[in-house]
Amino acid sequence: VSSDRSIHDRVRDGFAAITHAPRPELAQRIRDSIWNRVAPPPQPLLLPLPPPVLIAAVLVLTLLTAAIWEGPAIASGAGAIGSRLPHLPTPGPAAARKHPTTSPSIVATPRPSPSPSPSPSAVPTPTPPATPPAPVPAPVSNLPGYVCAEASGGGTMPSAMTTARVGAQAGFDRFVIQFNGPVPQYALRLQASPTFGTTTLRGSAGLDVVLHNASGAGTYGASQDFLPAFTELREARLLSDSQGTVEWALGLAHASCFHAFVLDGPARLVVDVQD
Amino acid sequence: MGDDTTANDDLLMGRDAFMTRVEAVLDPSYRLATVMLLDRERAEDAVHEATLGAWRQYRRLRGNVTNFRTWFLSRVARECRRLRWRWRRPGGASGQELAPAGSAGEALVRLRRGSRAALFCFFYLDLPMDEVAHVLGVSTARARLRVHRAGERLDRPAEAEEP
Repeated sequence: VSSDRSIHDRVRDGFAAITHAPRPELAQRIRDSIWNRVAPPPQPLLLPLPPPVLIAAVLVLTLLTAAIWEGPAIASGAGAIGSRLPHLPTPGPAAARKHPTTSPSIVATPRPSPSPSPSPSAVPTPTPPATPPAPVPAPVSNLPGYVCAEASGGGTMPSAMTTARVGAQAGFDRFVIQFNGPVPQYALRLQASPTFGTTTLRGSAGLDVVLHNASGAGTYGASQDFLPAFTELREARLLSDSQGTVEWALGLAHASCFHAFVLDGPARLVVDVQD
Repeated sequence: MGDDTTANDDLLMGRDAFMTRVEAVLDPSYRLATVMLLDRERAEDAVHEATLGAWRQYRRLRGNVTNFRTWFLSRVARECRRLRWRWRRPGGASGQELAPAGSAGEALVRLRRGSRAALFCFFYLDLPMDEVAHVLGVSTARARLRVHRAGERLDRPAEAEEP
């Protein structure tokens, strides 16, 4: 027993001598990697985009149906369909009346995507030129849509900030503030300059995030100036924290649209800036 | 809140939950990596890489990991074996920087990597032998044998083997 005890003590002493606790930088490095990693979009959240083959099949079937309604002679067989399709006349008013939702609406329906890229369309449809960036639906249908000016929300209860973080997601960059109580009242305002008072952040536009009835004194333990090299989010800095008001400033590459929403457990204010 | 928002919330909460669990076992994980690689910088790299792999697996498992500590340690040990093989160099890391001659750890760094890791898991982390085996990816009998033989070798420092 004494021998076992001796070995046990010697081994423990030996390992205690050659190892030591990890540096705090390791935990931060891991946290950064986990949070900044572009997460694959959660599968249940996005409607699956119909594959091009399916779209083409729907298009052919719709045109075929329209052709049959126009005149049975047009559809004389499967082989004739392919050769006839390019020569099919534009569906007349009768067809449009009978099939008000035919192929153009199906093909031209943009995929709910956080990216503001123009939606490809197989059938040209006249669209009015849009000068301002059109708010694109949020990637999650129940989330508030993207706005390009101001947003506000939250509760009236005071709360304390505990941490904040940034992350790049598919189609948007995310800024999250976490609280140890309910998310307090917040107001976000987009501005054309990254200058906030005397402070100028990275980027060419800014997003002002003001929290009322909030404080981080003694509770906030994360960085006060994030410098991510994301597509849109270039900097997130804690500008002020006094008298129950906390102000964060986000430096953006462009004056992009954003949306803000609240998550529970733990309470978080999530700000997504559209890429 | 609908299902979509709930799912998104789960995603965010999943990361928080995962990081909380990782940070709880970061100390033994880093020490295990140091013991296996005898190099503190590489041990950090190993733990970092193992954590990223673990996060992917954790998502696939939807967080259903019964013994997170053992599971995570086994991933760190596996990553150390992989990196050890990839970074293999003549003589390998000697461990002299960690345990100078005459220090308490000198005899330990002279043991084989597997034996050293087994001793560490059993005596330092106080893991049961079946968990030692799981962490090291060997059978329980083999883990027991490693611990036993390593203990014998420590009693005979003159016969301690090179790593």
